Amino acid sequence: MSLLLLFVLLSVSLSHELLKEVRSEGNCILVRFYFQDGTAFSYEEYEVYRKGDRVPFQRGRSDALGRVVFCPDRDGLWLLKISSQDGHGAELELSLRAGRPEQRHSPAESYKRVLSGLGYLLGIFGLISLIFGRWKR
Amino acid sequence: MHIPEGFVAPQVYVPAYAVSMGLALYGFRKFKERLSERSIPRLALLSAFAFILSSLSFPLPGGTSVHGVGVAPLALLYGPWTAYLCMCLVLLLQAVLLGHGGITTYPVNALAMGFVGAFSSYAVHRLFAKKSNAPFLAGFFSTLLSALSVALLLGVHPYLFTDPSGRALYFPYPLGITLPAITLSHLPVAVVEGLITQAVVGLLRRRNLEG
Repeated sequence: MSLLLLFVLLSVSLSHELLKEVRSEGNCILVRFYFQDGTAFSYEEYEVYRKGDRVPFQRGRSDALGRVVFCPDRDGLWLLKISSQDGHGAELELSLRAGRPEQRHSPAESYKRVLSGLGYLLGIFGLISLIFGRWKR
Repeated sequence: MHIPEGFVAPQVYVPAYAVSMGLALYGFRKFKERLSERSIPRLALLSAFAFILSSLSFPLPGGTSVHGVGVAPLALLYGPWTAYLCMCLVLLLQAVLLGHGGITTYPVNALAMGFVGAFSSYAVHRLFAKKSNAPFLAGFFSTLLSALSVALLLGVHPYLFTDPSGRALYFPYPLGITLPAITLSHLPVAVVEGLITQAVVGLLRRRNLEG
């Protein structure tokens, strides 16, 4: 039962991590922000900067589907900041070549997530070994 | 092979939640009965192995990508119920941490990769128990049958769930596309999974580390 509770708490606590999906649409970049449970990060304020600039290239609010679209005028590094009043948000650095993002997500981020998953998994089996005696009684 | 969020109808995933969780509760009882102090670290390692194997996608020509499951060694060494339960845990972590699959598609993924994968590998292994390559066949068929069940489940959606104009409401591609696209693309993975299962099970048995 306690294990089940742990799973529920884990899924609830992690289901609100902000995820992003980056796509090229013509000469523009489309970034969709959403939570793990699929909820769109809608109507939240964002700013897009050319890397190094202090003045935003574009600012606005994400649309109903959590999308931000901007049409860069040059290649190089771009920074997109988006945040909501309840503390959710993300900063996304995009490296553009020929108007397209060089990679959709950092492989290092995926590895970190896999490693954290392994940590949780081993931790859960650690808990099982701790409560094993109670089960066998 | 993980079915992403939004592809499965509520009419499918709600009953799938009931079925998969019911099976998990039953599996938990079996798991507790079979569990020994000696087996916990090995179960943790094999679950971690399944987690890594099913987290790593390999691109194939044509824009698709595939991954293994890693459930067969668990099923052959610790029984299908324990394997199913471990896969439920692995798939839950993948859904919430990696975004592989989703909260609504979690029970369907658990049934396809966990239940079908575990029980098919166990059954194939028993069927060919006298052959030296039984673990290979178990690993091979567990992957292939898991992929086949995903293909079947997705492929029936456009026949069952459409709007009044006939447009698919959820997954749009029919069986004629999903069956070859998903199962054939998993053939090379099934071969690799078979080889890995043969190696892992053989190693653990030689060192008397099973059960």
